[in-house]
Amino acid sequence: MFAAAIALLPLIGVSLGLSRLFSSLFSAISNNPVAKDSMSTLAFVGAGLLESLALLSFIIAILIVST
Amino acid sequence: MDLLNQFIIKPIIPIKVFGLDVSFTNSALFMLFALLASSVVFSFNRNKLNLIPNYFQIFTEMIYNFISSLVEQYLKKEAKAYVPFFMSLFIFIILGNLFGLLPNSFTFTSHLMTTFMLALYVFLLSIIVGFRKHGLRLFTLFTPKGIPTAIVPLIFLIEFALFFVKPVVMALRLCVNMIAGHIVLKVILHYSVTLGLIKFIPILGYSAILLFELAIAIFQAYIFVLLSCISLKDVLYLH
Repeated sequence: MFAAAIALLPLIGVSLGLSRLFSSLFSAISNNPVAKDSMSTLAFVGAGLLESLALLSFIIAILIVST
Repeated sequence: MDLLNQFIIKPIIPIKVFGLDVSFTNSALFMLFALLASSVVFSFNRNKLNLIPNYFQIFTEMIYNFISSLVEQYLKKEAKAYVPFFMSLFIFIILGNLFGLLPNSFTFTSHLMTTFMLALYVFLLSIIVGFRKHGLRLFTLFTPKGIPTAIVPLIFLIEFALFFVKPVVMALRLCVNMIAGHIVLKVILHYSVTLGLIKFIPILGYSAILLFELAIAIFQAYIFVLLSCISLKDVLYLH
């Protein structure tokens, strides 16, 4: 159980990264509202890439608990 | 609570050829379902195109415009040759993800083998296209311009390894997203059975997360197609 809790620690980094990503997206949109579409697709792709890391750690935690 | 039972591949029609197990499994059954569903929906308006589109035509045109604009954004002039391939890839993955959300079904994209074969297909396609277009000049892909000549071998090695890791990461991302989503759904449903009097509360959360999973299913198919587009663009237009 404790090992699974440790395996979930990368979520800290993922949450920090997501918050930085979206805060910079909002500031960029407010600076230049014309380029909203291209920037938001890029940001969502980045969010997807980050989320996959979080889900990977989640899978490892589940595997540690269930075996 | 057995979370990983839903990912077991069960043979439906056992077939053995020379000691190899080539049974018709539930994974193959759902792949066949995806194939049938896509061919039925898209053959409704294959031959007659109306000036005023009906619902099926609007639906298919929406998907086609979505994929073709994505491919044209990256592949520019050569986009026309690759739109059908990316379209079929997108529809296969998205139907696999969405069929997995039906109750009592099986998600074939939740297995690393399936997604890795899809990624390997894109990888081999990009290598063949690159060699046909550029020949041995393809190896300049691994040496970015404007770096000092002393560290060229090191950069070459790193980029070379990165080129081979890319499809593995692409496959891993799709498969892990599907597995994690289904595990979360099953955990919440488990609470709705065991909680007793307030067992209606997890059902509300379950429906919210099911909608989120629908969005994830579409989004992951989009990301897979986008990343394969980018890998093909790297090969077609070297730096």
